[in-house]
Amino acid sequence: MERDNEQTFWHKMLAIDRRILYSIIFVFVAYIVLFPIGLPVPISAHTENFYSTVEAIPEGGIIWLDCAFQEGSWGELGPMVEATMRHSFNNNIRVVLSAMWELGGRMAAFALDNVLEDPAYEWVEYGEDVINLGFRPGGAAAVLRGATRDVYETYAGVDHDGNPLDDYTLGMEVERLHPDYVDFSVVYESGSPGGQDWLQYVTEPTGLPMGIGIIAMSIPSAAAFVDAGQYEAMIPGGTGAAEYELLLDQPGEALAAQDVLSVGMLYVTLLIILGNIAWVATKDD
Amino acid sequence: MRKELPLLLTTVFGLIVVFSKWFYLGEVWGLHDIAESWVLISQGFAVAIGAASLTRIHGRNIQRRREDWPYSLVLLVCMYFYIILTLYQTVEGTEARWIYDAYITPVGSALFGTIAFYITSAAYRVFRVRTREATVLMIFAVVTMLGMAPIGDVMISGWGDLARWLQDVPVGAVTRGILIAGYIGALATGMRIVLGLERAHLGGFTGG
Repeated sequence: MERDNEQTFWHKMLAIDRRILYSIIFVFVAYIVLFPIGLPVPISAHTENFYSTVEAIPEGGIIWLDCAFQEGSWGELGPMVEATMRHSFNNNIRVVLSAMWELGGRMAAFALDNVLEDPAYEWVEYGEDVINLGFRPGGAAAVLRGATRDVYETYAGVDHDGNPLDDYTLGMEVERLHPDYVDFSVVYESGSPGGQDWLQYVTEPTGLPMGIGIIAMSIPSAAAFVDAGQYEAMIPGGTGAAEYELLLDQPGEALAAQDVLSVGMLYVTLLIILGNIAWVATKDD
Repeated sequence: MRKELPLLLTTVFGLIVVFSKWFYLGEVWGLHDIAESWVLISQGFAVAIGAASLTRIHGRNIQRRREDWPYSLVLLVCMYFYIILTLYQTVEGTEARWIYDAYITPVGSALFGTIAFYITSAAYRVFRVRTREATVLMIFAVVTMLGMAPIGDVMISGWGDLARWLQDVPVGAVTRGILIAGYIGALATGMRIVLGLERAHLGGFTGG
């Protein structure tokens, strides 16, 4: 009888309605968002290296950030873009934004708006300290190769909002995507086109050093290029973004998301274990 | 001629790129730049062909009242409304941008967010340790998942380091092997296309 009851319990567990599973994760995440735990986040060597690389750009220099992602990856990559911009502005480094992905131009604009909302950066002047060139159609290969020769022509003489580059000092100063005009470049990548296209059409032909901000799932493939020295530095996933925020001492969206990430991962792990126990307990029936 | 001409064009343009990259004269003549400009123009045509093709397929769905035809109607209405709107006020227009920001952006995020729910269900129902390989996979997955989030180090000190080591060393080595193999495969496929041996792009058959 006891055995029957046990089997019934595990059978019930195995057949649990998926809506219950969905509700539990929803409640967990909502609770953690409302009441963060503040788990400690250790700094990885990759993020520390990225921080040092940006730190080494001379004051008044120019960093070029490309958003090769869209909304789905905002949670991981958006905070990275914002943190890099904050870091650059803190060190008086000017920022050029662009996008290999069509929706990336909007992502760059969101990130810029978020940073400029901070009173600490009210001195930042659009066109002087930062410019968003947005997305240009034509395929990453053609656009990137074009930009290495002539930024103005490639971007049709306008920024993301369609305003003439002639009106902006920074827009006219960066004539080429080339080490003669830009000190460092970073691609925030969630797929293709991404870092490998940048490496092929910008970094290898011109020698402009590049870094990568990458979603957690793609860390191993990007790490191969970091090890080879082709990517100078990497921010590894959302956790890397949180580490970057910690290094800057400017907590933001990524750091806040770490508790949610932890609880989510713990929940998925528990489900894997529970699901397997239920399966083992019932597989002979 | 329907097959020979595309094959000839593929070979000629493939050789132009090779010639431009590896030969001095190719670089001087700037053939690659010309080919790239043509790619840009072709892509413009491709978008137009795509729109025409969508109109034809979904127009027929509506005309013949096929299953789920109202969705076809919604697609065509949205597509042509947005095309006309942006022709009138450009993509930077107030309404055009508002529609984009208020619809595409949140829908994109919401769709991606729903994956979290599916993962929980899949983790519970599908991830079974049926074989030794599956067991190893599960152990690695759990170590990596918890190690890449702060909770791993909170539970056991050094868990994060172990997860990072797994990613950097064994996973990194395998990934590098896959990358190299992938590029060799791409090179071989490229050569087959330029030599006219690979003909799938001409209509679904492979020769040679």
